[in-house]
Amino acid sequence: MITRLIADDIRHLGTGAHFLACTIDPMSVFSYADMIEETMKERRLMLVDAADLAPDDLVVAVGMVSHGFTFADMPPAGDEFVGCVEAIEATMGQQVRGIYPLAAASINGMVPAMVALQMSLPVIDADPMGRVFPLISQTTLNLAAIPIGPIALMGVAGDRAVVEVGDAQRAETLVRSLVTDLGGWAATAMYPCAAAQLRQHGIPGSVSRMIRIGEVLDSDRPTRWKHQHIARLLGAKRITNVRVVDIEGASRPSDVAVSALPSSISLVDEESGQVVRLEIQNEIVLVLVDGGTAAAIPDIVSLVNTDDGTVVDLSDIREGDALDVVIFDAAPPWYREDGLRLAGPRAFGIPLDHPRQGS
Amino acid sequence: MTGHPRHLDIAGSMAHGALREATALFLSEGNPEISSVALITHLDEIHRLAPNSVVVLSSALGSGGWLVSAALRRAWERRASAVIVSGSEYSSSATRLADRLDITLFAVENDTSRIALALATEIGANSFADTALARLATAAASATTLTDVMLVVSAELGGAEVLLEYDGVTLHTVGGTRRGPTDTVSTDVLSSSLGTRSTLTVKLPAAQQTRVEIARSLLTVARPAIEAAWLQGDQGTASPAALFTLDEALAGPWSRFTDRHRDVLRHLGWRPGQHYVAVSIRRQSKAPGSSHLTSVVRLLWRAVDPRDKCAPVETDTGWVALLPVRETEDTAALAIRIRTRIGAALQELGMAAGLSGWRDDPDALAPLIHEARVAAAVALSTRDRAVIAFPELDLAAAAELLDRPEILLVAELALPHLMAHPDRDTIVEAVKAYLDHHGSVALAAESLTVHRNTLQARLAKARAVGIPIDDPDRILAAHIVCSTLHRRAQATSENPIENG
Amino acid sequence: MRVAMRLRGTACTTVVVDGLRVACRARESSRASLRSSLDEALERLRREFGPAGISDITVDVGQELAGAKRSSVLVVRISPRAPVDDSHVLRLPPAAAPSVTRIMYVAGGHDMRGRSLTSLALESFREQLSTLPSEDVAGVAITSVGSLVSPEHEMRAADAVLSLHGDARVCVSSDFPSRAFRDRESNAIVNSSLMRHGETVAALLREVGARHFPGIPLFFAKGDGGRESMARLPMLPISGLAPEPAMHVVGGAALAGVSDGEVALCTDDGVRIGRVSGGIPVERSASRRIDHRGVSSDTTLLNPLSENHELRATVPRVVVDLRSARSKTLPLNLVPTLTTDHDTALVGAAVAPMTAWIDRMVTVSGRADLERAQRIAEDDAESAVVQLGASPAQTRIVQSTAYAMPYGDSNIIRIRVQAAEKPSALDQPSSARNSNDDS
Repeated sequence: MITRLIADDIRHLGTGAHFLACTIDPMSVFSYADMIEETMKERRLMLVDAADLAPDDLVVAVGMVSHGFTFADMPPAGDEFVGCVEAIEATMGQQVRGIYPLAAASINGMVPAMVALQMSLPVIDADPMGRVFPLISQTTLNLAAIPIGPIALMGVAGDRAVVEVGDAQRAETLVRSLVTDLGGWAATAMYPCAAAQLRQHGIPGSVSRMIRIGEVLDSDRPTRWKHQHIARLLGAKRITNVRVVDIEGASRPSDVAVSALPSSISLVDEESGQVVRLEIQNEIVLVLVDGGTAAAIPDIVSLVNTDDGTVVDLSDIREGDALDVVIFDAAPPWYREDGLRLAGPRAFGIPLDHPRQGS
Repeated sequence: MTGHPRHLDIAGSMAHGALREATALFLSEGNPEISSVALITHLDEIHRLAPNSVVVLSSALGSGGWLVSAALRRAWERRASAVIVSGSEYSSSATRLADRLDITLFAVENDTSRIALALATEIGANSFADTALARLATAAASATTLTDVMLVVSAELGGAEVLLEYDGVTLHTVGGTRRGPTDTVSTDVLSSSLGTRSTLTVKLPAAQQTRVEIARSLLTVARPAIEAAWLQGDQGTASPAALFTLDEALAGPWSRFTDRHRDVLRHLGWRPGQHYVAVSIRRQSKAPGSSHLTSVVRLLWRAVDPRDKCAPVETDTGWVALLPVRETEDTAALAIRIRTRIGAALQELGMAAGLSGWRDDPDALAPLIHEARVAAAVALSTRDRAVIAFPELDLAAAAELLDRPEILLVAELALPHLMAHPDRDTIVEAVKAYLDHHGSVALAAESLTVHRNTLQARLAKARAVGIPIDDPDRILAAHIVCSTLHRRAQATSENPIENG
Repeated sequence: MRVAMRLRGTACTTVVVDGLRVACRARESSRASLRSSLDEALERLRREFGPAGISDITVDVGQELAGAKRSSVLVVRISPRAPVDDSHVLRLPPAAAPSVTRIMYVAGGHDMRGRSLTSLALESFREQLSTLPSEDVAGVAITSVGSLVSPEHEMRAADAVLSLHGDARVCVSSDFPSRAFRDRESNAIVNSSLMRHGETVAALLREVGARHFPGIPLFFAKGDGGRESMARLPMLPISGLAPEPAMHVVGGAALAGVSDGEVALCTDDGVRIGRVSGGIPVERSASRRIDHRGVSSDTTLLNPLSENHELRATVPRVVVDLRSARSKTLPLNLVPTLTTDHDTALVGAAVAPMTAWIDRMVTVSGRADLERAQRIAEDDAESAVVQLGASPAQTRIVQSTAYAMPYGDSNIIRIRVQAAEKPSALDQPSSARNSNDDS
């Protein structure tokens, strides 16, 4: 299905992108949304399914890979992603026909819209993560042995590199260290593949899902309606109205492979007495309720303010805040044995099996 | 050890047994029996426990409050009598969960394996009798020196490297240095009221989890012996009766120095007729707890001079030592040797050392000590080299040793308008900051937390009273004068009576 | 006794408090000029209480600053490359945009580790600056990528401006800790545009204050619910720009005798809710949406009361009814606990404690390191309050948080600490405090 996106869709896309990655400061998302809306005044933005393209059309994922900085810290000059796509085209000797997000969440859920506008290409409604993961190797394409490379990177200073690498884990290491030297974030283009491969191994509908989430949260409807509607839309379960009682930083030893200073948030449901604990390492990786596992990565966990249904800003969270914890499933491939090996709790240094392990 | 397991319960152990040492974070209703104890290294192990076990979380399990939460849950599901965690790992949320699940939770300060062992002994289960621990305790008790105790620890761990560190600076090490990846296990020793850490550390070949656990237990048991040996060894090198005040000592006639201070010199290992180089070690500030620092300095000094009973002597400004030298010894090379061995450690501790030059007359100790002091003062002031020999000093050293009263006299003469100005101290402070920051108004203003425009106005005043901040030929002199005036102003405000 | 004054146009309103009791209700002096109004008000106070009867004066300059003519501001953006097209130009938020005359791009900036991304193009910057007339460089706001970690390029650019335009009011964004480039820039722009007026107001207040109450310390009310020495107003006027919401909370809590809990402010525009701890509002950082830019990140913002807000019985609550017509019931069946004719915001300014913030990025290697860095930051924050004039035994930490940055360098975190005078230091009525001073 081919849809033309309008300015409101971009606003909703931003809200949905933020909801799906609530641990990440949304400043980049909002200021990038402004830039996209500005660009849309002169051009059309089309959203298509992978099936709308010819099976062997070349498509490529674009995304910002960050190691220290985001767009909010260091705004892009504006040609970085285009530069990456062009480098892919030059390396592969083929024109790119469609752009898809590296991850359909956070700023990377927004990036394809800008690139598509700049290059007059469609955005494909699919992605290889279905949520945010910290490593570029954590994709359904990698699970299907679709090569990650060649990978093109471009920093804000204009430096560009193309990395030819076979192994996705090795690519993660190389890209991360290049990103550090490129200034803290780099625009990237990777997983170039045929549209048919994305159709078969990608997660469909992930871009339009962000828009639909945003439509609910941005609406004027009462907060209660929003809470319920989101839960229904995502098949989510909610732990409602729990109060923050403790926030800890550096509460676990960190794993070199996944960079971040881990932290934990403890909450209490004052009505039932339930004790809830969230473990955060880039993403919310574990939810314990009374010590038992209620959710573990790759399950998607989001936090919304009970009062007004807005997405919680983790840098602004205080003792006494009342939140709802929203938990829903990630895309099915992540619950297979190979998916859990790549993106389950143990991949994040949590020595626990996912509740669905072995099922 | 066989025999009937004793009937034991939580209350009993808290009253008379191992749990006396533990802090009860939450006590459940009732008084559960203790039928067994388990030292857990994986959460799944809890699933296999019989009811009424005490679940002790080993440090090998990892750290993280969530682990305590998850362990509490599993322990509750298995009807455990209690859970014990290491004191550093619990958080208020764990206590809250223990309350909610109504399961007893204890915390202990030290490594949890000790209490597991103690509880096991109480129960009569033999599984925790640790022969390695027993061997270590015996050997450590008979070791007399610090080196010996550390060697015992190293031997129990297959010759692993054992280090004693003070605030991250290595003081003493035994055992082989290992190549390849290592795991480190540490324990604190001699906790100082300053908050600076002394640690005993073992480096083991990586990925040998059982060794790591044993190492942890060994270090805990060895610690008292280490502390005793360190302090003992220090006291063996007794100090002179009174604090050696160098100013006073050098104020008297130098020809009589050796006679008047024989006591101190004896402690320094001096023998008549032998040639020496004097070494002065100075520290940045007079910090409390200096007696502990003397132990540290003496231990460090062993890397330079392993002679017995020749440790540095504490003075009012630091420490002084004597190093015997042959006639042809080059003091600069000696400085390099000392710098290599302990230079980095001295710098990290905020100290510096100076060496004297060489003198023909072996009795001329006073001038040697004087030279060493000057060199140490320069090293401390410049801070780019921790150890300087007096013969290496050049003109730049002069800037560090400026004679204050004379500079003030010059200032009175050359800058009368400045000296008479009511805002003199503010102007001087502004010029000093400006020149310290190489002419950056922005940085200087920030360092003084004033408005940039305010600083500019003060610099304008400085120019008006004659300070030549724009004249490259006289800027150094201006800097020296303002630094001196600034220091005097600060000294006056800190000690109004002394400085008049 | 402590005095609070609010400036509005040519009028000033004063209130006097003794401990937490209002000793003299709000009175307005309105003359032809602000100076004469101030003279009249302070003269009256001196007659009533004597020159030694007043211990300090805190001035709410928010409305004065908000109504001021703002200087024009030259915006300097230091980043590796300028935007390649108009869409990628960072939009100026509404609060900052009107003051900006021009945006200059200069190559430079630092990464998260403090390494420069590219050399600062200082020479070309100086060349461009030298072509600008001084009236275009009345105010300058300089923002560099990575300046939270290394402000070096901002400082060098500031020096370049000052060397060519000595009178320029230069503001650098590293004075306003916030990760986002746009947040920092917006604060720098607004601050720079207010600096001249801040200097004028501060000079006037100090001159008039010295005439009537020589030696009495002067403060201004800040947006975080605290007060700061008047000497700092010329440097950081933005922190005095919007104190009213916080001051309402401080004043309402003080009058109701609630130091920890919730404060609901009911005005004709609706009900807004905020929390206090030790009498100070718990800061809610500026909203992430663009519209609320223009206030310093330390400013208290109160959220509108939502119908889902749970009014917990265990939390002490003050409901301050400031409406002009009070017959209508309040939403959520709130019952006013403080119906007062007192000017709560002005009372708040009078009882506001001295506060200070430390906001820094540190590199840590684990939990012990993090705790140590946090303790150091807390010590620094308390020292800052002492430097403002508080007694060392009378300071406390209001909030202290360490933020891990997702997808950031695992070793770099941001520590944010607010310290303040302890409430007990301010509670005592003047007679009790004098006897303490003598001992």
